[in-house]
Amino acid sequence: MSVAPDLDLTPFRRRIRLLRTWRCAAIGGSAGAGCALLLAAMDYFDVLDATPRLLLITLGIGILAGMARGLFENLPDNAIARSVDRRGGLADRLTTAYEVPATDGGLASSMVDDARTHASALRPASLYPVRPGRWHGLMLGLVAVTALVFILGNTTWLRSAASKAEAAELNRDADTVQRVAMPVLEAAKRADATPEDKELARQLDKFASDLRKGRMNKQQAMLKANELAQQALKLQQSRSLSLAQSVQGAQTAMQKLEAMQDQAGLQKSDEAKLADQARDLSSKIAAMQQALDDAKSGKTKLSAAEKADLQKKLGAAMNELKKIQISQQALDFMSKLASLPDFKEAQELLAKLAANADAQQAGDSSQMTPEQMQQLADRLEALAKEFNTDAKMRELAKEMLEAAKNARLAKNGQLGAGLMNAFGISMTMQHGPGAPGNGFYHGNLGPLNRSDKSSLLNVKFEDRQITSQIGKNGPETYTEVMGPSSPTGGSGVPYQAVLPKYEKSAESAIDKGDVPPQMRGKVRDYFDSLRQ
Amino acid sequence: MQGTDEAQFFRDTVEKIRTEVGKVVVGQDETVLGALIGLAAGGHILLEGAPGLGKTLLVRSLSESVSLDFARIQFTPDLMPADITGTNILSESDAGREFVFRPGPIFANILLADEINRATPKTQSALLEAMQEHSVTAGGRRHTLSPPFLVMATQNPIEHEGTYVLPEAQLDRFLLKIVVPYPTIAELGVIADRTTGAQKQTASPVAHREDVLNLQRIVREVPLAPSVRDFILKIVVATHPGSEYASGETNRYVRYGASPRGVQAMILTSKVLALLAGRYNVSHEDIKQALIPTLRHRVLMNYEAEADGMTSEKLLNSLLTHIESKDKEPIKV
Repeated sequence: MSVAPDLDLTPFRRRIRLLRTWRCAAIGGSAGAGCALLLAAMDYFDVLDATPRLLLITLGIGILAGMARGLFENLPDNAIARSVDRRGGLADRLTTAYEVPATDGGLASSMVDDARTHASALRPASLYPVRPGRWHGLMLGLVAVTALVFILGNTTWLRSAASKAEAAELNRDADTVQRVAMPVLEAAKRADATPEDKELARQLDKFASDLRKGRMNKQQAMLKANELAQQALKLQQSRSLSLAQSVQGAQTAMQKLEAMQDQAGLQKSDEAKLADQARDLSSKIAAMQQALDDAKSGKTKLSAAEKADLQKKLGAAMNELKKIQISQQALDFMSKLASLPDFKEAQELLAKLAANADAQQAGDSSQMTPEQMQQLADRLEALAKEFNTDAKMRELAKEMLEAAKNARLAKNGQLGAGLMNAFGISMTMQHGPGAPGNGFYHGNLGPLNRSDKSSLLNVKFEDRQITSQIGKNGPETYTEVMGPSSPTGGSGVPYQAVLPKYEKSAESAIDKGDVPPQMRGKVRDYFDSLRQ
Repeated sequence: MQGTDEAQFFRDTVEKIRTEVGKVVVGQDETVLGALIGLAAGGHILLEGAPGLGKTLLVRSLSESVSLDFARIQFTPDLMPADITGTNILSESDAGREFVFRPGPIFANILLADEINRATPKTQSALLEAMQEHSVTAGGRRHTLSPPFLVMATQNPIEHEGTYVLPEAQLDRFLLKIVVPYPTIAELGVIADRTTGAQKQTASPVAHREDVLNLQRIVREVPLAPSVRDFILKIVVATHPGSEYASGETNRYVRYGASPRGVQAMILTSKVLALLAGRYNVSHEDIKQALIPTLRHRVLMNYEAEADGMTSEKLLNSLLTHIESKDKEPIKV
């Protein structure tokens, strides 16, 4: 197929492409509207939750796909020529001009001239007017039906007065559900959200939507709320578990830092002493070095034994100076770290998060709000960034960050109570000390008898949470009470005075069976040794 | 001559002949056009009509207007082939006795085979070689006919007694079969005036033998697009029972479909029509116009068609609709 190279069909091609796009958009739009109608029907029968936005997007995708097809499809020259022939009444002039070579001789060249003359007399716009066709009608019809189905499924116009009132009440409940569920919905959007978070968020979203559309009565809503609250509770319990582990991890990191200080064996007050020692050693080393140099140069006379002794002392002094210098570096580092206000703040924030986690487990309603927790977490993250200059600091920052994140995710516990409160249902949180999980037992920072000991010893106590294996007889609790020395360095109360009470308390604890049998003997031996 | 000039020459010549014939033949525009198409395309014409409709007058006027040799044979049942083609006779000359071929009336440019269906098939077949190969074989010798050679046969569809239906092979050799209609009342009035008055109208020569040969050459130079040609092929194939394009009516009513000569006839006729329409190319409209005259005698209907009143013309019209419905618009907009 060759042919008339100077027969320009470009204006017709442009116009035909425009019309094809116009037509294909209608075809695609009809397909999109068909899909939207299906979605609307599924929404009507409560198979899925379709929003006007979703329906519009479906329609739009269909239209855009159709337009893309029309814009990029291939339009062969001879097809355009035939189309123009038909529409323009050219009696196959263009078709023949495109299909028969002008070099054929005879009347062929006259034929091409004739075709060109007739084609130039045609106006593409009048030959191919843009007007709605059958597909446009179909698309508009489907859109209208879709809108009708969607409105019928979501309107309260056709309901009775009582039904409308109930729908209004459910609508208010939907607002409450949405407000309560907002943190969960936001958490589900985060990158670190688990599949369980997302599923809960999806169900909550659908629940709120169903309530708003009035597709369930009050009883069904309460049942659904109860179901969702149970799910939230399960999720909260698993979050609490990881929170406890994270807080413990952070505390362990803090202990590591303290241990570093202990290993250095230095206190801040020793800094001046160390400097003096270093200066003394330096001057001693200089003197010994001078004496050795003088002996070598013959200024002074030393025996071989004296020289060897001097060499030995010099080496020992240098080793000692080296140790002091290392300790000074460690002291400088710890001093600098402890003096940082951010570090102190980080410690306080971690303590707050730990307390909040305890409060959640204890069902305390006065716990921090999600916004407050978010602020704490953000501040912790900012602090952690400031500690990234040293490997150990980075490790610490990482552990603190994990603790903060887990603390943030543990707020699902609030959701269950919030949901139940929205429907006036009281919810009993199944929590408390010793909730088992994964074969481990996590002790709770409960009240214990902290006040008794505090009054007894007149010092401030610090409880520590201990993780242990679950025993054969169930959870076994062990509480370590750390009583620091008085600030003056000695105990304010003679231990013989408190020993009987302390021993009695210990035996009472042993008798309760919370202490493993193999450890009971050790406890008794300990008190026996104190009595001696 | 340039293409434009040739086309103009064609139109002018045909128009002059038509005007001249029109001086004698009243009305019958389609019939006259058919005869002119046959003349321009070099094809034979079968004129079918009741007696007295001017068939013979038309052919005679046509031959007079182009100043070609004209011969007329009145076909009768006792007409023999040699009466048409000629025969060898014993002739005596100075050289002695010898057989000399005496040409029959077929050795003319335009042969009027009047009431061709009255001759026996044997005699009718005497025309076969002449019509297809433009030559005559007699006494073992082949004699070529002088171009242009045109057979214009007439037949009377009313009388069946003493007539012989033309064999399919002979029918297929006619380019067109033109059914001569009755004249309208206005035309009848003119006919009455012309034929009963004192003055007698005659056609004068307006073209010559070379002009006719030029017309036939120009016709064959008209371009035909392959896609347009395919339309013709589809129609012809659609007349074949059991073919890809055959309709239900074809399968039911057609005994034999059109042969390849049908394709040739449609193309040549369409080309003449295109030139007469002032175009240099064949269009679908030309093909539609040529469809019935070129194929009506090539599609042989069966007895069921006759019983149901289905004629070849009706069938061809329905086939045209059938094929056009399949020939969709190339680009839907």
